Order: sequence, then C-alpha cells, then structure tokens
Amino acid sequence: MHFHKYEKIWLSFGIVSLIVFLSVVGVSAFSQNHTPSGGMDTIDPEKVNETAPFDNPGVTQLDEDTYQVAIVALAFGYNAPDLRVPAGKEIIFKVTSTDVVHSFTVDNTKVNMMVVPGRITTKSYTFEEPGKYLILCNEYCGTGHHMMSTEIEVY
Amino acid sequence: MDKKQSDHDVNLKGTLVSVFFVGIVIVAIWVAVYLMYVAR
Amino acid sequence: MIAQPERKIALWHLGVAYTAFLIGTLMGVLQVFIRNDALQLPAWLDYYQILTAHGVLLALIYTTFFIFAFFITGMSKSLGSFGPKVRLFSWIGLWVTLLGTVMATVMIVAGEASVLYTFYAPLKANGFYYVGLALVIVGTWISSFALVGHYMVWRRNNKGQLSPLFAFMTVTTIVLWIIACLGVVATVLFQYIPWAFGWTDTINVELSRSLFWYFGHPLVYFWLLPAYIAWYTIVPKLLGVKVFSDSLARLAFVLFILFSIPVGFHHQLTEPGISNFWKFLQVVLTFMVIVPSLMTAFSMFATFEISGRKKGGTGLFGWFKKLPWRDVRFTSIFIAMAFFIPGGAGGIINASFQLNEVVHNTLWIVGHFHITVGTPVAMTFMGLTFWLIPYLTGRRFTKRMQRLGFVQIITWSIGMLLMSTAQHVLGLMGAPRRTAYSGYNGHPSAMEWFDGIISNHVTMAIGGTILFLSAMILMYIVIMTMFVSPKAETPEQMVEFPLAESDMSNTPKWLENWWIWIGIAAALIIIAYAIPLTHMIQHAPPGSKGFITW
Repeated sequence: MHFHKYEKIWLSFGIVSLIVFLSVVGVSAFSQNHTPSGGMDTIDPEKVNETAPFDNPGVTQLDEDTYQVAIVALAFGYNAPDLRVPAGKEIIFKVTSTDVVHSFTVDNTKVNMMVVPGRITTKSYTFEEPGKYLILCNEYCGTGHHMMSTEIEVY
Repeated sequence: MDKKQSDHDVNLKGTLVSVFFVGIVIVAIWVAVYLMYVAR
Repeated sequence: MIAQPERKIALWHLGVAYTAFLIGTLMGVLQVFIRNDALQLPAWLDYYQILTAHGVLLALIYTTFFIFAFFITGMSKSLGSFGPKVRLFSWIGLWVTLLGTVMATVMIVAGEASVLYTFYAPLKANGFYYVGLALVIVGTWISSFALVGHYMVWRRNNKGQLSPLFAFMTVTTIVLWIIACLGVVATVLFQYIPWAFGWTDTINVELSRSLFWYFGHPLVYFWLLPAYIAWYTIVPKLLGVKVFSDSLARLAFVLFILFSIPVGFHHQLTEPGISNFWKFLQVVLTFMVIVPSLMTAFSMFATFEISGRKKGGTGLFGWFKKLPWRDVRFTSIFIAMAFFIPGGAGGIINASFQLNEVVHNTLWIVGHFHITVGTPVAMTFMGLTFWLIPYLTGRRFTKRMQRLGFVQIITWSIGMLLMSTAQHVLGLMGAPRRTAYSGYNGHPSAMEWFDGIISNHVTMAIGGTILFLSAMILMYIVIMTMFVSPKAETPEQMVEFPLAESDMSNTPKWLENWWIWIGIAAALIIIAYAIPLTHMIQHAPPGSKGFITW
C-alpha cells in the first residue's frame, strides 16, 4: 500500500498530536486526581432516604480541609438543605437519584456529573472563588426538567 | 509501477499545507478548551 | 441507467426520507422559538415531545432511509441489476422499517414516549415505542442482508476479484451497522420491552445505558460513512479525475470497522458504574478512530489539487480556483466537508476524558452534532439528492433547480453557521441542552445566555429559522425533481450517476477479507466491554422501576 511522502508526514503529525493529547489528559487525570466524575458505589434506589449519607443530606465537615456534600436528586429538584461550603477546601460531592437519571451540574466549575438511580456519583472539587453558583440539571428527566435547579453558596 | 517515481509526478504541496491548516485548527481548539478546563 | 425495479425501491426510500425531513425540520424551528420563550405550545403538545420527534425523524429516519436509497442505487449501478430475491427483501426491509417508524411516531405524538431518541431508563415509554424502534432496526437488517446478498452473488460470479469501490464501502458500512445494532437490540429486547410491558419489574439502568451507547457511537459512523462514500467515489468524478488511492480508501473504511464500536464509554465519561480504567481505555480506542478521518482529509485535498492542476492551476493554491464551483453537486459537498473541520475538532475534545466535563450535556454538544451529522452528512445528502432524484425519475435537473440548489445550500450554511456557533459558545458558558425555556429564576449565570450577539439563544433562533427556510427550499426541489420537472429527452438532458473510476491494480486483496476484520473488531469489542459490562451485571444494585415524569 503506497502512502505519498506528504501523507506520511501528515499522519505522523496527526498521530503524534493525538498521543500528546491523550498523554496530557491521562497524566493529569490519574496523577493529579482530575478524573471525571464517577465511582463504583451502589445503593438501593428505593431506600435512598434511609441509607447513609443520604439519610442526612447536606454539608458535613470530615476534617480540617475536607467537606462532604450529600445530595439526593429527584424529579424536579435537589434535596440538599443549606448548601454552603468554604472556598479553598476539598468538597466531596456524593449524589444519587430516587427516580430517573439526572445531572448535578455546578455552573462555571468542573462539577458536571450524571446521577444514576442505584448508583452514587462522587466528585471532588475545590472552589477557589466565593459566590453563589447556579446548580442545574442538564440531563433530560421529564416535564419539569428545565425547572430543576438550586444554588450553592461558597464563602 | 515505481512508487517513488509516482510521488515525484504528482505535486501535492497544496494538500500538505491544507491538511496542516486542518491540524492547526484541531490543536488550537483543543488547547483552548483544555485551558478552559484547567481554569474552572 | 439502473433497472426500473431498483429505481422504484430507491425512490420510495427517498420519499419516506424527505417526509421525515419535512416534519423533523418543522420541529426544529418550533424548538428554537420555544427556547426563547417566544412561543407557547398548546396544552396537548409539549417541548420534549417535539424534541423527541426532531431527534427520531431527522437523526434516525431521514438518515437511514436516505442511506439505503443511496446504497440501493449505487449497488445496482456498480454490481449490476438486483435479482428477484434481493428486490423482494429490499421491499420487505422498507416496509418493516416504515412500520416501526410509524409505530414510534404515533407513540411520540400521543405523548406516550417523551423520552427522546436516546430513551434512557428508567424513563418508561409505552412499550410500543420500543417495539417500533426495534422494528426500525430489524427492517434495516433485512435491507442490509438484501444488499449483502447482491454483493455475494457478484463475488461468486467474479471469483478472486476486488469488488468495485462503492460496493466495498457499502458492505463495510453494513458490517459496521450490523455489529453496532447488537447492543441496542440486546437492551431493547431483553431489558426495555419486558420492563415496559410489565413482564419484569425493574431494569439495570447503567447496563441499559452502556448497551445503548455501544450502539450509539457507531451509529454516527453509519451516518458518516455514506457521506464519505460520496466524497471518495462521487466527488472525483465531478472533478474529472480518478479516486486518489483505491487501497487507502478501503483501508480507511476497514479501520472504521475496527475502531468505531469499542468506544461507547466516551458518551458516558461522567457516569458512575464504569471505572476510570475502562473509561480511559475506550478514550484511547476512540482516538484511534480519528486516524481514518485524517487519512480522508488528505485524500480529499489531494483529489482537489490533482484535478485543479490538471485543469491548469499553478502555484501553491492555484488549483483551488479551478474547482467546479458552479456545479452545485460539488459545491454543496465542499461546504459539507468544510463544516467537518470544526465538527471533527469538537469531537476530539468531547472524547478527551476529563475535558468532557466542560461540555457534557451543554449546548456545545448540540452545536457539535449539527456540524457533523447536521451539515457534513446532511449537506452531502442534499448534494446527492440534487442529481439522485432526477437520475431515478428520468427528469431533468433544470438550470432553475440548480440555481435554487445554490440558494438552498447557502442558506443552510448561513443558518447553521449562526445557530451552531451560538450553540458552541453558549455550551462553553454552561447552557444546558435538551431543555425547554428557563430563566432559572433570573440567576446571573443564566441571564448570560440571553445576552450578547453570539452567546445568545436569540442568535440560535435566527439561525434555526434560516435553516427551516432552507429546508423548505429543499422540499420544493425534491418535489419538483420527483414529480414535476420535465422528463429528460436527449442524452444531454439525462442526469448521470457520477461514479469515479478507481485504479485497483495495486490494492491488496486481503483488504476484502471480511472475516479478518470482523474477527479483530469482535476481539476489540470483547476487550473494551466484556469486563466492565460483566461487572455492571454481577455487582448491580437493585434495579429501577419505571417512571413517567412527563
């Protein structure tokens, strides 16, 4: 199979670029804890409100530098009273759903996760800027989908 | 057919420049969104 | 001119395709107005019904029926007339796919299936929606097997020879499609249908999503490859040259069989239930499927340069001016190709592991697929339609229709440029997709999405309106070339099927050894999916009951 000299140059450049992209995201994800949201924890979708940490949704301080925020998503809102967290600390979001698939998305941040019934999505994030951040659902979940939102205050 | 000979027969310099233009667009857009990700 | 029975089957496919196109594009223009709070729907109609119809009719029905019309015509042209069994099964395929389409559409209109074309569980539609979609898939399999049957007859009569390039590429696309459908067939037959009809109580949600996306990613290659077939085999003929490289064209398509399927997780990068290892593995495999598109870019420019230089173009870019810009069959496809530059670039970003968090479920994704399936594929189909319909009906493609064709593709381009640029920018600013109008209680973040010139839902609506006008012009051209334009009387008036010659003398025969490629594809699929899917089944949480949240 004959490749023109220029096609060899182009494909080499292309493949090297792709390897660079993969290396940048791969190294940064696995060594600096920037993997996308996910996690392998499961939960009974019918017993969410009795299962920790969702039996006590909201903000819990785990230690000096770490806070956990447990949130229950449902059609069409988020059960997470009093969403207030400090800037500069690690915030570990844990989210699940009692009904259909939702998202939990904090505008202007890296926090943009799918919330799947039967599973718990975990995402660790540190807010740098204080302020009131819009949280919305961007995964279609029914007639009220576009009204599903809340807010988190970072102080 | 002599493969090296046919490479000389056909002038593909414009093609080389054009695909590299495509390559630069890809790299530029990727870097821009990467920087946006880092900044969030 | 191909045989009359094939012409009839192809024309019926085009008739269904453009009926779906008409309704689907109407849904689109309604959507952009609703999202601006500029249109209130009557009580019996809901945004998410309209959105479901838009996705199903344009992304599934228009595409599928057009693709088979193109395949049927091209396979008859390049391999010879169909035998009676191939014709029979092509008709049965059409009817089954159409039956499924009508069933699913009735469910959507009745408000029983506002679950979008991705129908994620545990949103639970009426069981007949899933039956309808299953019939669509089954119908395409019947049509596929008919075409493969025709190909096998040709192979038996031409032992040891490489098949014509068009046929090879058609069979490649079909092989990819059949393997891809296995995922959606598995989930619809064994999960959704029993659950929707009440024979089982619960459904394993993450498994259903993963089986869907096993199908959902190669689905986009089922759309893209027919466009590539036009780029590789039709465009050179319009330029008066041969296919640039027969073997590299076939190699590119073989690479699509191998790497289009074991990559579905890149649509699920922000989900629980799949470990980072498997997500990243499928990201790496996704990056491999970029390579045949890089090869295609080179082949396209090379074809342009060779034809332009042949016509006397000199210097680095003199060949560019020599391209047949006044031929709307060419210019439409050139524009389609140009849109694929940012379209493909955006795709690479979407697949880049954690970068996906910036764009997931935002309007960026909507912008992305409008400049991939919505223009590179759709406008290629439009450019084919201009000659395909009059070729099949024996009518003329008049100067007036040609001029109208230019108006149509230019308005589509302007409309799409405005709409998709707005969508990309809005997406980067966080605006969600698949969402009816909301001001999010006046939150400053949301107000940004209605402010500015590009970063504005209003710009999206202007673009969408222009697109709808373009769609109506196309419908007019379709109706004229199908039913009204005068019949071609002289050879000059007859519309040709512009199929380029391809020099196969240096093409290795092993490229056409299907079992090797299917075998490697199967191995890659097992590597990419066996363990994570097994884990999803063995370590499943209690399943979910159905919810009807609309």
